[in-house]
Amino acid sequence: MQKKPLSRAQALLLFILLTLAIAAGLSLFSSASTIIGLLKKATAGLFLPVLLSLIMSFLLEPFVLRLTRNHFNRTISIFIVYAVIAVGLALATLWFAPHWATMWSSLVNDLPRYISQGLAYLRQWQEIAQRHIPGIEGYNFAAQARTYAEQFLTYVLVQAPSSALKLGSLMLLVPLFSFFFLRDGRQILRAVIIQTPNRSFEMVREISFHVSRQMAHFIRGRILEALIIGLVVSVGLSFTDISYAPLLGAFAGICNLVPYVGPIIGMVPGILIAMVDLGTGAEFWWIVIVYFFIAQVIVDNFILIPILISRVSNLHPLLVILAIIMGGKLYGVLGMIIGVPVASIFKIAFIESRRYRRAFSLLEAPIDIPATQKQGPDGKLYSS
Amino acid sequence: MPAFWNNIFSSQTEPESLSDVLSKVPIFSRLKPREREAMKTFMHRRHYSAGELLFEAGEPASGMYLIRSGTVRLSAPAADKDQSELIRLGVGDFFGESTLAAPATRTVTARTLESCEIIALLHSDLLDILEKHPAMGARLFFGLSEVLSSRLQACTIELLKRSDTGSPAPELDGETL
Repeated sequence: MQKKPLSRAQALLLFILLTLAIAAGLSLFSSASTIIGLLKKATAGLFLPVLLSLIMSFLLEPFVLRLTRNHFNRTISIFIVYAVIAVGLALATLWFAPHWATMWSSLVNDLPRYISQGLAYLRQWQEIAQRHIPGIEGYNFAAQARTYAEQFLTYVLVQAPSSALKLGSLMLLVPLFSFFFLRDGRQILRAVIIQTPNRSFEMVREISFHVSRQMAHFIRGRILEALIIGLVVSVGLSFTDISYAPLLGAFAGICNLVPYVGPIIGMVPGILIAMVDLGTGAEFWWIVIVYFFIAQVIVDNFILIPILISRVSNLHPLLVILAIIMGGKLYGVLGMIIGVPVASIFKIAFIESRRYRRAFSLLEAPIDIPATQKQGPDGKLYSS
Repeated sequence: MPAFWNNIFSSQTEPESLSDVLSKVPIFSRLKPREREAMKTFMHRRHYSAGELLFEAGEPASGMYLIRSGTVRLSAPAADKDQSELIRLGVGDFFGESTLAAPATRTVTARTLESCEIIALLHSDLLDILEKHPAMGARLFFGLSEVLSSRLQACTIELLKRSDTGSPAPELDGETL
């Protein structure tokens, strides 16, 4: 059949239709981007409190579980746990408040001193380096470091009140969110599973169970590890005359949440303060030994990591660095600390679902029933 | 008499509660009434339309299914694509309980014959129960092991009978049992 060329009216109609379609598409696109923009705006500061409350509910779950086993209502158990924590925090604040005020004011005085002394050390090393390595005479590391240090100092002094404000809102939101996660977490998960289709609900339920169990282990392990390292460093440093031993211990513990890079960053302020205040005597070397040998090698590597941390969550160093950078871009210093654990959580989710699929050879999908079964790392039987 | 009055005075036929259904299933028969009531929050209620596939042989298996209404057909995978029917199960019947404690692969295919309401209890739900209500979990495991061991007994007797009549019996060893 021969095609007739379009008549003038038809061509006009086609033109109008196409124009309308493009206009509709453009307006749809722009409204969609507005909606996404609105959504982004609405959920802006929510990621951090939600994440922290998830972590908190994973941490508190064992205590709540223990109480519910003693025939307490779950809501009442959560309230009991909250009450105990509140009393503990209140007592700690009462005991700590006077020390804290003096410590903070002396720290504000000492910090510039430590930084300028540290810069002086840097300048010495720079001179040595420039004498021995040709071609770097032009660089001035010390000046570079000074600008960074000045920026850091002003950041700390200026941001302290505003981050205190942020901390206040977190302290309101995190307990509230984690209360509901603790109370209704199971119902929320079940509501999701009810929505899944009949053919896949079994798999979704099993995978989500294993993922959340691994995550709970990982989060509890990491926090416990940080606490113990912080305690070990504080106690180790308090044998010397170094000031701020508890503060340095807390810093080392928090930094320990980040693998590879964290422990090194965590010992920098301690070693700097030791060099400035105590010189390089016996006490200085004891502090170095505490940081390197006792906290990192003996306690962390030989005792804590084999017990607390499973190999599942190990990340490649490259991934660690990427996670730190990306976390820092998104949420600043706090993002740097939580970036690596969040990346590990993603890895756990990925590995658990892949293991489930591989265990039942869904990846290759053979029909035969395997005769041999092998024990999985978690003691479960998996068909090989 | 208008139908209006009928509705008020006729006693409504109450659908059987989950607790009643569970009391007739051997696995749950050792639970206390209150615990049977609590099972509601651990089991999954699912609706299937007629002819819908529940699972196929060779798929990952990690739980048991209990029929609350409707009929389900279990069939074994046969050499020629035509699947041979093993059994038809009705209200109150359950299947797949052997994978509840130790997940494995499905050995049969299950398909509904009419629209069904089915309650599932999975391996992870069992672990959940054991963690949250240890005593209840122990009673549940006791019921489960009773069912499994009676199945095993029946299977052993069947195998012995076959070897007596001279028909080729598959080799028996401790591991396969």
